[in-house]
Amino acid sequence: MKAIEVSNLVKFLGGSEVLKGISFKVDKGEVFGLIGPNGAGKTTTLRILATILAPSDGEVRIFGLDATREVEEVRKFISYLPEEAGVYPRLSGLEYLHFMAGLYADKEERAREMVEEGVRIADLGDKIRARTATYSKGMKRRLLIARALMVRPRLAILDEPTSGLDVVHALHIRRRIKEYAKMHGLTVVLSSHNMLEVEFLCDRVAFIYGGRVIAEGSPKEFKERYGSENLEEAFAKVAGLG
Amino acid sequence: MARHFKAMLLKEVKELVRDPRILLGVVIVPLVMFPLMGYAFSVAGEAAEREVIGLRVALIDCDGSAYSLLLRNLMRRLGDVVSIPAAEPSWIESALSEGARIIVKVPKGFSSNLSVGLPGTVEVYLVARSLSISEVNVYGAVSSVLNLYARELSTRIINQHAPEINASTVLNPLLINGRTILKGSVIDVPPESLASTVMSQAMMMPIIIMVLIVTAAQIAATSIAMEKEEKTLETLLTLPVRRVTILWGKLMGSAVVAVVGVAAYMVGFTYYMNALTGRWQQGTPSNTPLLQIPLEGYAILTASLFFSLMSALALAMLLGAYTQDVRSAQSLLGILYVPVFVPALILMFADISTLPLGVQVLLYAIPFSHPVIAAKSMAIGEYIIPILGALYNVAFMVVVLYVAARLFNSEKVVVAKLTLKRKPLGG
Repeated sequence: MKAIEVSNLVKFLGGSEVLKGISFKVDKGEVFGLIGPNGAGKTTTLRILATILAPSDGEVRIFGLDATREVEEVRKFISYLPEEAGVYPRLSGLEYLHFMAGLYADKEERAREMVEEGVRIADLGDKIRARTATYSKGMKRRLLIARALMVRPRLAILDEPTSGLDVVHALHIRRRIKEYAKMHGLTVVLSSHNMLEVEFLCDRVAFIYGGRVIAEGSPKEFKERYGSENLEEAFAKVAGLG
Repeated sequence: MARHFKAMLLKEVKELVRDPRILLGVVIVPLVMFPLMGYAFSVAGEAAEREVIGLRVALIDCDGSAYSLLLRNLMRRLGDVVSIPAAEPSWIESALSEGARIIVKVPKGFSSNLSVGLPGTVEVYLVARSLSISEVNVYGAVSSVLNLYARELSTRIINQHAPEINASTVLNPLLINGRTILKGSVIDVPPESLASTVMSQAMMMPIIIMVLIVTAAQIAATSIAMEKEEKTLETLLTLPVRRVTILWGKLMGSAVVAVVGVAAYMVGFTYYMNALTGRWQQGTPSNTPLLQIPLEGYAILTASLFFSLMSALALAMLLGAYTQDVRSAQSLLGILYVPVFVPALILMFADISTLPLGVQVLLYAIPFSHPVIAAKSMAIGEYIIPILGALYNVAFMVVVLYVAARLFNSEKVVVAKLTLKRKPLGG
């Protein structure tokens, strides 16, 4: 059984066909990246995987479950980090983690363990007790990634996990994702514009362009196949962008 | 499920009460604004009362009779009475230079008119210093002394011309002993007292209900719009929590904060009303035992209010879900104010049974009418309409909650957006 099986996924939004029959598969424990320009359909695909949007056509299976019909079951083992996610500004970082842990854990003890783990991942020091309204963008993102990973999901869906962050925060987040994926056999599907990040994190990637998957493979395979120095050049060649 | 609900409710309440917009608008402002307004009225009222203490009255007595002497003695009740000689040509200027607030002139022939059965005339001048309520108070004080004077004159004239008649009976020939029949029994409550009781219940209940529903609706719409504005909604919707639980957490969180807000409002409003009327509500007709709503009545009223509150919250949540930020949600909520305010205002002044049939049907169809109707009906022991109203509100709430739950279960809660398109100017 694959972690993710997407077949002929179609999505119409606001009268436009945003996804035009996307298909891909992700193995358990794999870190899979979706790469493409703005408007290619990456976020829509991730939102469908996260059960926020329903497919107009096609099928999405997560660990064998139908992501359209068995949404409540699917939500028990996924963790989604939207690109523009926010945190509750009037809760402290610690209260936020407590709130989230309380929704995933069956028992108080397990919730406490999750929070301890979240505090460790976020690594915000004493600021974890401050209201999140006082956090910088990087600190918020660290808290959000901590929330997404502390619950030990089977599948983490991360939309642009380091978008707009400075090098210090971006590095912290990338290292935590890599560490957790390896340590806990976590399956990760992420989107990113940062090709260095994709090369650092992903086992395999799919190029998305115009609502379609135009190529799939490992970063190494892409570079070899297209004789490119990096993924950016490979994408340009596959997409026919010169 | 219960664990999830508790977590959602706690989060909602924390977020809402810590929001300065909610804290300020729902709790602080009523607790500060109303007492401040009340204080302002008290200060103004006290100042107005001080104005009528120790008034200086200038009396120009051109008649020089026993009757004018009586007036002079009665005028002393107001304060100093300064006599201005009748021969003084510029008597107004003289009175003003004496600092008089009231000038009373008794013309020559005043007493002779009375002695031949004609009314006597006195000229009264109010020296107005400003256009304020205190001037009205000054004139009111003078009028009551003049009324006393007129009564005394009547008594004297009656005694003089018909000593065998009791002057007091002539002046007050009718004693009205009013009673009220309520639910078929005669009760020892004067009708005017009953009327003011009904007035008090008819006015206060709609105000409380209006404020509660509007406050709760504002909070609920803010709660969902805040999730969108702060970009927390998408994450929330992917959590392993049933969407209905999220909805209930939001509804109940808003209701809890609204109840606290309304309590604050009522504390502030009561203080304001007391300051305005200058007395506490004790001894007022609302304490009339026969008009108190019995316990089972309160249960029906509470149920009716709860169900209409939940309907309002769910409607507000639906409206809030179609906006992208708190400000837009507050604006869009204006749609909901019409069916809340209109029935309350109509029912404040009219009994529903006296209204045209079409208006009655419309009012019964609006769920927010029923708590107001229930409050008024149960004060006089009518239960059937309030019970039917509460049942109607249950049905309405179920329908609205079903629609809200459907919205929360669909992707519309994320993608729904109401935009007011503007026509471009020119070509």
